[in-house]
Amino acid sequence: MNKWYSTAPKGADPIVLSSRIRLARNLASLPFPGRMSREQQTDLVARVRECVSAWHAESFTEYNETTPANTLAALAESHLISPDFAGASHIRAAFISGDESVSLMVCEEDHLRLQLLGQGLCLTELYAKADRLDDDLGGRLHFAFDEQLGFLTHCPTNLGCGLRASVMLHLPALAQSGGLRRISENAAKMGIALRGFFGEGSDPAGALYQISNQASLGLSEGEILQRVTEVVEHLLREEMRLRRELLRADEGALSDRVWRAHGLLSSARRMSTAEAMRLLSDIRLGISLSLLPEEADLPLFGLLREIMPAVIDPQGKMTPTERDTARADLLRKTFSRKE
Amino acid sequence: MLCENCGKNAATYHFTQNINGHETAHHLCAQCAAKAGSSDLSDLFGSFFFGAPSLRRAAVCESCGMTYAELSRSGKVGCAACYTAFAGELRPTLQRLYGNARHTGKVPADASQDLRRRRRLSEAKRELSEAIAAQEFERAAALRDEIRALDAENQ
Repeated sequence: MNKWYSTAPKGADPIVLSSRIRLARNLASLPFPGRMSREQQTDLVARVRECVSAWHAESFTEYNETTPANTLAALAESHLISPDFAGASHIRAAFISGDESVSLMVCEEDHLRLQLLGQGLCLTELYAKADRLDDDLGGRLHFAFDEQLGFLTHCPTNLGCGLRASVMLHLPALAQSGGLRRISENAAKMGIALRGFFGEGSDPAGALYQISNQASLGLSEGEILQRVTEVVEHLLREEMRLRRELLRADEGALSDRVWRAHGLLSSARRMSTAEAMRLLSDIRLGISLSLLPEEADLPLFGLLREIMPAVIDPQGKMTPTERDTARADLLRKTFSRKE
Repeated sequence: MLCENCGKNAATYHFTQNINGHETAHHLCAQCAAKAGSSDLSDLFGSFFFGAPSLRRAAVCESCGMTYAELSRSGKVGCAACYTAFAGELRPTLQRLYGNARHTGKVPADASQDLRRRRRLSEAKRELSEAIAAQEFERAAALRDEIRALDAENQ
């Protein structure tokens, strides 16, 4: 089955990679997962399994405490489950749709963590779908809700709508210019956080950033989505302006940089995750500025997950060098046929 | 000034956090600031929780058995009923996070009729003032009728 990220539509946004909606929900009748008995956890998983099996529009795969650790690690690297959930040992389950756009974790920090993923800027569409699934689950399971505090959650920071809306952006020009700091400070005043997606600090791998709301109490779902979207749109304008400036300043240097990235990706025999991410970032920048020919079927976001260690080596049997070799092989196959 | 998180090192990192228009000043040492920067802010709020007054050290949530000591250590509650059981203890944390904000988002479909009616009433009142400001008098009249009806049902 095609995954939601496996093909990039022609004319896809050069900066926005993906959008994500996450809802946290708990049942009124049970203690939160940390204080549940094994029987209660088993029972809850069974009740949710029944709900999910009634969602006929899509087929879901269940992963649980019997799933091999490396499979769970790969799901965590693909952001379909949380690292905490992958590493836990209690009774729990994750239901993931065939195209990986919907994931429902049971007995994570909260009873339910529903996540929807999609390409480009699509928060409104994703929320509309999350809202429908939430209505269905809520109708069967009866969620803990308080008029003043909203949906009740394990951590008080998730109260209110229990909603986190995130957008993943590729911001190489802004990162290079040092302009992100000021934007990040201004966004924080609106309750919006900007952080590196892979690794923290001033230079996150692949220049990928995540924009998300910090709180969801006191704002409606629509207002949260709008605020995140406003910050994203501001970042898009700034990034495009700076990219054009980079091009004007020294097109030759930029062209050399992106073609070098192409050269390495299509020829190298060993490659670390960090290097691959940096080079894929350059390729994406090059395509957006027409320095490289646009390849409509080059799914860069899909590639980003395919080069992750546990995705490359789902059995967990390779040495780091073998993984670097497998990664280089995969990338070479993708890039050398593009000539 | 000492770091408000660990209480051991000198605070060298000062920032103001604004959530829903409610500003809070924070003062952290380099280590705690790095920790805050490297993880979800919620972890830090957990440790901020220690600042809440320990009104009832021995208090326990009857529903899940969570004690106040556990709550102040983790900053996270044990069950939905904890929000009622520890309402007083949680208030400073909630104030710091949200000011006086109330939930204005979705109401679950199975919430009580009363609650849904009250929510619709406050929405209708807001829509009414918008309609008047926009001089949409027909819409305003319809909303006024709806508000009257909802008020009567709430009596």
